[in-house]
Amino acid sequence: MTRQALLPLLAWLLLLMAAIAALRGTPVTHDLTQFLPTGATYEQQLATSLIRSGPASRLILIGLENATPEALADTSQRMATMLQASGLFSQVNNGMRFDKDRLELEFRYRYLLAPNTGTTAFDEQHLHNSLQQRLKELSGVLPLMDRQQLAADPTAAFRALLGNWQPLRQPQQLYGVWFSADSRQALLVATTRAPGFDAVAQQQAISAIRSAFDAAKDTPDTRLLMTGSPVFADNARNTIRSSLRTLSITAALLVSVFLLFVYRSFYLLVLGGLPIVSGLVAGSLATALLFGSLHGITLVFGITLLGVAIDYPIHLFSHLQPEKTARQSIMSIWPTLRLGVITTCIGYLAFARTDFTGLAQLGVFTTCGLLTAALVTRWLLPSLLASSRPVTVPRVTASGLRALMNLSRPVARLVLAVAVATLALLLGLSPPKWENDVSALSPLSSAERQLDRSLRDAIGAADVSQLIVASGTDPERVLQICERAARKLQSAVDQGLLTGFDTPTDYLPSRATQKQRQDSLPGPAIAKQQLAAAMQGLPFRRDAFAPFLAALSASRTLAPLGLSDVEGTPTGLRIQPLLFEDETGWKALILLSGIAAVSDFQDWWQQHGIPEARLIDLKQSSATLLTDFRNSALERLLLGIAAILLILSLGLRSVTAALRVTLPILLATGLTGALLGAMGERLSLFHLIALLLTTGIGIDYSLFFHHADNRDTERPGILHALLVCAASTITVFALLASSPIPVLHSIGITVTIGVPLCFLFALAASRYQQLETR
Amino acid sequence: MISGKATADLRLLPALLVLLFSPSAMAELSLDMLMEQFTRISSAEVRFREEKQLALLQAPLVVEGTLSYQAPDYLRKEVTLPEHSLFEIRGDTLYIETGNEQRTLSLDSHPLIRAFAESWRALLSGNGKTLERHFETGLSGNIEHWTLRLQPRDAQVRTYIEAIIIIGSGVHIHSAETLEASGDTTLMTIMADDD
Repeated sequence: MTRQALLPLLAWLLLLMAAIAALRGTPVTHDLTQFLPTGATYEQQLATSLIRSGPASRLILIGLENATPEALADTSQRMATMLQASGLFSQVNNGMRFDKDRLELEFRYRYLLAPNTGTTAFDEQHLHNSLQQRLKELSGVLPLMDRQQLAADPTAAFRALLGNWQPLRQPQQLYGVWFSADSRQALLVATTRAPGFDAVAQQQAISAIRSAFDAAKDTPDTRLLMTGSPVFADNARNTIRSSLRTLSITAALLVSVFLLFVYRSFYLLVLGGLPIVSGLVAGSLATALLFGSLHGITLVFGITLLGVAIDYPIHLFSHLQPEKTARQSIMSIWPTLRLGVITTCIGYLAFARTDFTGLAQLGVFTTCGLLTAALVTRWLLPSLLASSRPVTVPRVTASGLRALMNLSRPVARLVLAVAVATLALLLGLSPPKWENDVSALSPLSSAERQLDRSLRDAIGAADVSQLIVASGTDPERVLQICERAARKLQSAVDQGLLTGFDTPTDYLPSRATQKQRQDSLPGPAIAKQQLAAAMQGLPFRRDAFAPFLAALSASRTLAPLGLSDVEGTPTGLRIQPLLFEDETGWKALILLSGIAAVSDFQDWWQQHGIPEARLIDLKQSSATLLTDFRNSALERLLLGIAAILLILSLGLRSVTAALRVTLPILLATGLTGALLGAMGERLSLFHLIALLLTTGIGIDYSLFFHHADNRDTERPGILHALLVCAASTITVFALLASSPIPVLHSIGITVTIGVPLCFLFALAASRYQQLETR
Repeated sequence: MISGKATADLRLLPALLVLLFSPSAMAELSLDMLMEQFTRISSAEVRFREEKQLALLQAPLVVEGTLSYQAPDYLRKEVTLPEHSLFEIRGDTLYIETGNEQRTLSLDSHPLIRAFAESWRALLSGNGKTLERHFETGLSGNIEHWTLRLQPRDAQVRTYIEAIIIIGSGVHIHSAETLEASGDTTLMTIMADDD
């Protein structure tokens, strides 16, 4: 190795090691919601925030099966106890009865918290009716579960309070716990304390469920089923992680074997890897520095760099000629290569400035990665090649290559005409459809979806796509809004617009309401007198309800409960997912169930609702969110293409030349989109990104064809290089297309279709133009 | 007295006669022996009177009604006085009628009814195993006058019910007294048939 080669190599090694050292400790995130835009409107921001941290993002549905019902019930009980003790869940429900000991606070505050303490609840008439009712219950066939509390609570206020806590629809019970209708599955519902975006904490919660199950199961055959957003996210993380490994290893292997076959040199293979490794490290470092973390998908996307960045050394290798030095070879193609790199990077820079963390990361990663790969190809590789024995590349000078080179004008014209006609036909017949379902972007398998549906049905979990969000500056104000909204909603229930709703004030009324209830409680003397009158003619002992009178009088001096007072209590745990603070203030959620007709209810709320409590249609909001975002991505795509055209015009010093280079690629890109649509793919954001990627790659091809136009001696080398480029790119992206992760599949399939089209059209266009100019 | 009207009475008579004069009648009574007697009952219906002694009440609350059983797992309790209400249990399903409310539930949603139901159903069907699963049993006396003390095994049920004490002779149950943890008691007396 000459001294000349040593310096750049040393410099490169130092830089690489410094970069790797800097990268160590950078967290790799797998939060799929980063791929959700923040949203423009208030509703959209709320929708995003709810998807990231709302109740649905915390709910885990659990099924236990494959054992006798008795064994399953035992396991369910034990699991529930363990999970409750773990502190990772705000609620674990399996139908077990409330642990009365833990409800001491709620019992003490019953006359402030329970709904039946209107102004008249303790007058003589109401008390008399209550007592009569209790007497009836005592002599009825049903034993009273709360009889031990009868003396202290003859109006059954506590019973009414707990009644509010029950889900509207409950699964059947066997042996004291919830079971599916066919009695084969014991059911549990757990709500994580951690919000959806806190991947680490949710992962802990999921592991806790697994280990609780392992400890609680009676027989080794018992199966644990889990579903819900936290589980999906966890599965997605695992899928991404394992895909990251297998895909990158397989892609590297395939491309290596292919390059080895083409160039028959291990040395060239190793050299070809240098720009890619450098690109990956530089891309990761830039992303880590700018964003503080690296997204798993960005990293996976990094392997697509393999397919693009490998082009740079391939161009160099295919241009090596015995009579030239490597430096001379690179210099002859560098202007063209440089222009190709710059145009691709410009395309990606359009994405780097989005409010969409995931996409911005992709943009930064790709731009930096490609630039670095090109620089390494330009500055490092020639010096390493110069010192080695001259590499003779075994050229595939088969008749096929020559036939391609000498593609006749009519054939070229035919190819382009057929392409234009097909594009027009496809667009006319079945224009591509857009993907408007957010969930389609998440890597859920159909088995997971099905399990989710069946468990959700069995448990009767509320559909949280429609909800009312109250917002305000502090919890008290938000609770007051909820109370006003609840009064309106009650009248909607009475009109049959919906079957019910679940408001945080069922658990904790506002302090104002508690104070109001407190003020309406009768003083000791009046209470005693009214009770005595109410007991007339009833067989209760005279002093039977002394505990009740004591409780009434004690309730008058209780300080109304606020959110901070109930922290950690059963009430606090229940209210936590429904009442929370985010960046814009305090929010409370009212969950709606059984809406008869969504649009009717929306109209009704528009007219009768209150402005501080907004009705959010999560499905619709997230769909418009996607549409808006896709539109802005489309704008950026067009902007990117315009920027590419501008750069090309400058670089080639001719608008006509720029158009000649660009038009066949735009045709290929357009046809790719139309073909995807015809194949039944619903186009998402990620198809758009991939189309931009394809455009970048295609323009590279087109530039090199353009470059070859006036250099007959270089043409075989260029065509060889382009064929190798296209083949290796297709290898990598076909691999991505086979991935079960929708994002990767979209990108893979788009590029796999797009690259051969770009190659073909660029070739045809160059032949067409070249023959024309002669 | 459990006297299955027409169905049980006549068929039980020979069995009882054999029982009374067999040597085992004088021997110490085991749960298996007692259970063995009950396996032959296929259905029964009796009237009962319940006296509830509650700390809250000045005088006992008196309730009357009928109790019906059909082998192997049907049980019905109907209160006719002072106010109509009933429940019906078949397998693990509980049907309740109180006032104008009618509900079908899982038996497990009412642990106290479950305890009551299991004691009666297990006893009347002669199923010692089920009885032992739900209760700790203590049997004393002889076949002509036995006392069966049942203590719930389930911790939750035990917070409400301390014990159920059933007194009978042969397959005739005379009374069942429920002692509650709170100190309240309910004494159910099986009434002799009017006819």
